[in-house]
Amino acid sequence: MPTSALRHSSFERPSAVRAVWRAVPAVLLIVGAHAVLPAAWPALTGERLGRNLNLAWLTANLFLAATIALRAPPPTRRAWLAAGLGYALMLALLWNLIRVMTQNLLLLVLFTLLYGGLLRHPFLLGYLYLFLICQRFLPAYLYPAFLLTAMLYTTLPPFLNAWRRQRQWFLPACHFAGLALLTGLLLPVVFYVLDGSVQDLHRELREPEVLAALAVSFRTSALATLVILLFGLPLAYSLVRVPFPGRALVDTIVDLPIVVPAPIAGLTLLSFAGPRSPLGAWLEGRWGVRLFDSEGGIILAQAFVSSPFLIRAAMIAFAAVDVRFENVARTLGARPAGAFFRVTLPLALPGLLIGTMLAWFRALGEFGALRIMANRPRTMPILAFERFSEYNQTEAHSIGVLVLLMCLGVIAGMWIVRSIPALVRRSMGAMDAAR
Amino acid sequence: MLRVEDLERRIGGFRLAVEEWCVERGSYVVVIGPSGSGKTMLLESLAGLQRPRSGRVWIDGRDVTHVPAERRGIGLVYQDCWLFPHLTVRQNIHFGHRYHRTARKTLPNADALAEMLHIAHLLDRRPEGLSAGERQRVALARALAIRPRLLFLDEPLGTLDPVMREHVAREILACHRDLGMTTIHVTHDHTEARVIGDAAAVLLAGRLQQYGGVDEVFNRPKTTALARFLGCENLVESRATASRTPGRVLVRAGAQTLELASPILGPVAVCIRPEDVHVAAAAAGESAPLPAGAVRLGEGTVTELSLRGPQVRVVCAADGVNWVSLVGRSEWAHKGLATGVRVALTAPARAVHLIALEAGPCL
Repeated sequence: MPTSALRHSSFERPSAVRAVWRAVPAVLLIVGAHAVLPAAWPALTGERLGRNLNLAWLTANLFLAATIALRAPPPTRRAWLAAGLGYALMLALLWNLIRVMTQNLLLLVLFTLLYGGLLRHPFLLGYLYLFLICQRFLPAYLYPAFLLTAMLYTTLPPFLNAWRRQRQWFLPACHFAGLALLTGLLLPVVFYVLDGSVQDLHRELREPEVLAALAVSFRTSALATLVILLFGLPLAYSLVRVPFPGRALVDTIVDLPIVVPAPIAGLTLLSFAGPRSPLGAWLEGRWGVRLFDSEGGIILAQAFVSSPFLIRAAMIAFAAVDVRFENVARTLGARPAGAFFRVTLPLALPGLLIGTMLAWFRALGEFGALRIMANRPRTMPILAFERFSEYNQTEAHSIGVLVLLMCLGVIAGMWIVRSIPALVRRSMGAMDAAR
Repeated sequence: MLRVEDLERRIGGFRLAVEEWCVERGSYVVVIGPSGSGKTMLLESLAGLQRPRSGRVWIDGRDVTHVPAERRGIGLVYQDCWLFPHLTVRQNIHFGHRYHRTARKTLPNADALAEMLHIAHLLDRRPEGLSAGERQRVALARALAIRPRLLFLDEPLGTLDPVMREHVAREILACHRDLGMTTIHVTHDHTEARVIGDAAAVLLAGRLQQYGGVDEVFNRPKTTALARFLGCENLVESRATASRTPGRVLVRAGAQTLELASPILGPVAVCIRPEDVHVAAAAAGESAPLPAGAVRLGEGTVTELSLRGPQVRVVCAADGVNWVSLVGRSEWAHKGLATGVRVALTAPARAVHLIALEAGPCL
């Protein structure tokens, strides 16, 4: 409420007396809690209250007290109620909860932050309940389950409102169906990542074999992406702008690498550019370039399999930029290339960025074609597979986690691109500049 | 200034054809046509943004048929503006400057243009928050910033509300007057065309059918199809015969025979704009004195009345002909026109236009 905030900031903030008065219950709370708990704990659990546990308890209460005392606008009754409820719940479930949390101080901080936020947003209380429910019923999958239910909970309110106000069931049903799918996709990934330990990752990152594979992976996939960018963007642009004869066919051929199974793609490339093919022989004899078991071969295979991702994304991005933007730029004096670089490209940028990231990581993750076409030098996926087939699942685990973390990084990157207001506005503006 | 010969462009089943069209330097031409008549296609073809199949285009005496759009010196403003959303208003207006390096010193800068179009306070904003009228002005400023030889406006007032339409139209006209720039303005709005244009070209079904002064085009359409599109609702099929006075012809419309100055003989359509048909309550038995230069169209009864904003559309049946007249509101109230009232219909003789019907009736 802006009015109450305004009133508060102009009249109540200078009053030190009020702040002190408000601090009283907080101080009482801390003192009381710390008087009660160390005495109650052994009685409840039969154990001594450890140093860790005590510290955690103190932190939580201090934070809570600070929130109560220093909060600017007077809290609503609802907020008080929610906070009180949460606090009571916390006490009641102390047995379960604090044990889990003291094993992980980071989690504790997160929890207290959420809990402190209760006074402002009772909505946050839901996360607490979710965490407790997951902890109670799915202890083995605690973190992934919490992450996913939290996701569900976060996206829920508009759908819930639609249901509550107008009994609309279709959109909520769609949402749930979609989330069920996403859960199926995300659960294993999150589980796998959280199953790893930081120490293992650290150890792996110091192994020369892993470092070499990482370097090869990044170098080749970056070059492959560059190759697709250089040739794919012009192709996408011409497909979108010029209605040449056979456009539908070319448009369809773009998707060929998606249809062809990766090992078959590898076989195809091998027979075309391998050492025994005329092209391979010529390249090796004349230029000394090998496209088999070399970085060149890796780049070739990666570019082959990942090109559709970039080209498709670029086509959609270019098509969203109305040709009349270019027309105007042309009449103002820009040549077609100038109109492309000064108008179309900036307007299509978000889509292009996302397409590039997709293609890049598709290239980085390619395995099937590489296994046949260019097994050496090893890329990350090949290394993970070899670890798995030579040793076992655990040996491959850390590498898998490493790759997954990078992938999650890319997903986060795409998320950021999609939510940068300036970029979003740009692409929205490109689509309906008229409105 | 602009000359077009035998321009033809086809897309799918649609054919745009302009046989011959000459636009005078410094004139303000409105191109009128219904939706889908190829108005935008015509502008884009002339601007070099679409490639015509055949035909030639001259600008300032120079054959620009094969000159790319960026070197034709044409400013283009679309109905939807298409302001570049990633640039500020100032950057939008300056967009073309970098392509006119040699002339940049003399080109109008954003501040001057913004001053002229009253958008100076918007210069550092982005286009997304602007109102339709502001967008239109920015688009106009952007086009004017390269001082084009020809300015093309594609339905620039189409998305504006009536008040804003008035404002922007006035500003466009002021720019035209100050800069003396030859302007081609596409619209499907008759009122707008008659208010704003010096000359009018009518595009029907992809063909440029008539070009001339605005009043000439609206009062003397060449064909019945044009007449119908331009709102000449009174079209009476008849036959013109030679009168005894040389240079004059006799045509029958309903029960009346009109004597008019016209070179046309044979089957004709008598065409009178509804605003030219005068309706007066008929005094029983005798006919009121005819004003000088007017002709009598007959007597009849009002069969239909409908309100058209400031005007009232009156339909009168007189001797088998339905005459449509547009009467001002106050006049309507004053004359006590109501359905069933007997009225006398007259029109100024110069407002009666004959359209030759060649191959039989086509009404």
